[in-house]
Amino acid sequence: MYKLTLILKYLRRKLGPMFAALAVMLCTAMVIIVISVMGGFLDMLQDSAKQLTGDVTVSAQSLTGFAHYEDLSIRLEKLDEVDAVSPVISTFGMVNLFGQTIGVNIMGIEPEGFARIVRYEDTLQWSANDMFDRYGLEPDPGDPVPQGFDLKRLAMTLDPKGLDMPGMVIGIEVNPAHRRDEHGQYNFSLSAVQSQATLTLLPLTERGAPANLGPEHGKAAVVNEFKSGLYDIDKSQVFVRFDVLQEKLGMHGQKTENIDPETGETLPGVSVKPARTSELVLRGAEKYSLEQVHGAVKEEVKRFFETRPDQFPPVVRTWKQRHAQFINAVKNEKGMVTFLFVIISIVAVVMVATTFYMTVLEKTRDIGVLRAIGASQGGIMGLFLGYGLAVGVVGSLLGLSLALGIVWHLNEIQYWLANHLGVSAHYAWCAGGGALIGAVVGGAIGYPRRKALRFAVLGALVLMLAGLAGAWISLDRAGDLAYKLNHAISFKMWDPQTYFFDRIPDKVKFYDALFIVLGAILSSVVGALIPAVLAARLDPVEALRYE
Amino acid sequence: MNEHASTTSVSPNLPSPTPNPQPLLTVTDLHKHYRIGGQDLHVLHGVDLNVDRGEWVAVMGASGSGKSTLLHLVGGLDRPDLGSVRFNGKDIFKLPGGEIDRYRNRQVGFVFQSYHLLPELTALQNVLIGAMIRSSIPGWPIRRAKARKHAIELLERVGLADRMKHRPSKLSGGERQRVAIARALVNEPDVLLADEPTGNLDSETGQQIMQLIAELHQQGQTVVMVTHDHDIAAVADRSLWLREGSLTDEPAA
Ligand SMILES: Nc1ncnc2c1ncn2[C@@H]1O[C@H](COP(=O)(O)OP(=O)(O)OP(=O)(O)O)[C@@H](O)[C@H]1O
Ligand SMILES: [Mg+2]
Repeated sequence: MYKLTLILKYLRRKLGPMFAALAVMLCTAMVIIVISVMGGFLDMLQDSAKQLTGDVTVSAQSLTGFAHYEDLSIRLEKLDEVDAVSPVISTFGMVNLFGQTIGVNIMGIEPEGFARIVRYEDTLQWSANDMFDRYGLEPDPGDPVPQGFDLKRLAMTLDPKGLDMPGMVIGIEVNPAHRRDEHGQYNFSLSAVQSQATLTLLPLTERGAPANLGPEHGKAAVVNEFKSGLYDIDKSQVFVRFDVLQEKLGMHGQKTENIDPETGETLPGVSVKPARTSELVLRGAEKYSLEQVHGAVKEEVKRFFETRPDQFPPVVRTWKQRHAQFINAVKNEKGMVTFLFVIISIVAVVMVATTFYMTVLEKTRDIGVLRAIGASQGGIMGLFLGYGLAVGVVGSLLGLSLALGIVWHLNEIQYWLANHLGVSAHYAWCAGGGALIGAVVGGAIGYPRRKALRFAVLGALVLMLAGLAGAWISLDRAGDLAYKLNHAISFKMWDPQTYFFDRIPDKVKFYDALFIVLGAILSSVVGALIPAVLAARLDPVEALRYE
Repeated sequence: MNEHASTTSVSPNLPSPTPNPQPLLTVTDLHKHYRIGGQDLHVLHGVDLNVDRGEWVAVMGASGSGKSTLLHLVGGLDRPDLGSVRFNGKDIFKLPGGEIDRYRNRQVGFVFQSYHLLPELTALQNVLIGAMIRSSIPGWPIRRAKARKHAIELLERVGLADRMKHRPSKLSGGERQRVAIARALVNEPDVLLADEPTGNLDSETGQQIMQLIAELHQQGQTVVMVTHDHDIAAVADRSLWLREGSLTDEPAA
């Protein structure tokens, strides 16, 4: 029983182990934060990678695409392992929107089929309500949403109601007008919906040569914007209808007259150029593993193209193979995190061991006293192990709270650092400077009267308030000072342009946290082990003599 | 050990004025030496001592003569090179594992010259600590109330009713020693082992402490006390001198 009493007393009254608890807390918090952010980031990467490509893709090796995809689709769809197939053309191009031209990846999709395989519908940013809000309309509860206002539906058909041009869905960052507000949200009033854009494409022949003398231009109207969360994709991808893009690129099926290459004469009969696509995206059936789906599709594709030796067969890849570098990053990260965890655990063990060693030295006489009163060696060991356990529990729980507090608010913290640091620093600087000057002046005035401290505190307080007031007035008077300050002094912890995602991962996984907290507690106990053994093995008589 | 005692003991035969057939404590031919820098320091060689229940024995001797060493051995805090300490006839150094801790906890109460209270605990907690060591954690809630009551009584008995919540640093030397005595008594030990309990106190406070021990003795407490002071030793039933490693009842020349 004395162990418990003494542990509680020591916890409250001993500075050394308090530092050990602090160290454990910081180690715990650090590992939880790193694992949560890094792990969250890589999970997001992996998820997005999967959701952007479907389970398995059959892709042409060349930009010119592959032919006979319709027949192949039918064959693949018949497979047990495959739930859905949809063709996609992807090509490079430019989009000019609001007078700005940027390079994009143009994807030709059949929206209904595409949405069944790839996360598409969920990523659409604007719905009918946005339109109602914009025009101050009230939806009639009895009436279905008027066709022209249902932006999701428009995106699902890629049809710009009433405009004589193809529809287009753009990545939200493709729109140069967008600025995220302070909650990281986009505003519909800045959206490009119903705006017209010019697309520029470079059609290729099936042999890969430019099909025209120059690039192909075309107008398209934005029907919606999408936000996948992957900044790179949102910044550089637009969707148009599959058939529209296919035709613009000359990848559609064509009948041409045969011309003798030597004489230039028209020969009898027509030759048929089959339609082409860049790739097929597939969704596997639930009950099959990704590898089974991949194997079946690969086999079918191989068989299909065996009868068509003139074609370069497309490659069949799972989303994991296709995004191998993400997946490997995840694997690397796991190794890294394990390494980090081991290092930090060792740090915690050493910190606890040293502070506990000091504590044992400091408490040597008390240990002798306890032995004299009847404590056993095991009891003394238990006392220090229990103490280590207590330090570990307190430290790791504090660390957990700290980590949760930080991780859950990372986006706010990042926003504050990026946008409010200047003004905050201005206030801090004015108040701190005022307090310093006030303290010095007050101290100097008070010194001859032997009241230096009191005057210094008073002076600091008065001038600190004055400083705060000054800061406030200066910000109030000079209209753009706040903006300039925040612009000049800011800390960009998370730049979406370099980190793919527009939000910092801010979830802590329960089992991660549990594992780390238990690890920290174990580290503390291990750290306390050697000091505890030393304490238990102290000769009680020597310990009593110890000064 | 006994054969050994008969051949090597150089101490004179101690008078045995006890009517009791078996003394509470029997120390036989106790040897203890220290080794410092290759030099053997034979502190005790052949100490014999009997202490009867209810007796008050004072052990005197020059500084460095080994008085504390003897007391530590009797209290089971240290191990002898040779010889035995029997408590109620049982050799405490041959007790099965863990029993010697229990012996120190229940049969013996130590009082030290420099009090040795635990600084983090209040006076009351310092007294209770012996009872806590005795109790397991799950057993404590049941024992707690009784132990606490007993500890409070002890503190009242040593005159510290109004100092229970004080930490040792807020107590005077005499008060600390009283707390230490109360602590030593909390498990109602058979013998109180006091190592110069008045050594750090002025003579008046020392007198009060002696008064307290005398009262305890009157109530039947067995006491073995080490002291420098002849006047203090005179209060005891019996005074012995530790000289050249063994005990004698002849005062120093
Ligand atoms: N751990 C040790 N190692 C070496 N020598 C020791 C040790 N403990 C005690 N001694 C020596 O043994 C001798 C007896 O010590 P002890 O403390 O028993 O004397 P004492 O009679 O109690 O003296 P005092 O009256 O000053 O307290 C001393 O000379 C001391 O230096
Ligand atoms: Mg001594």
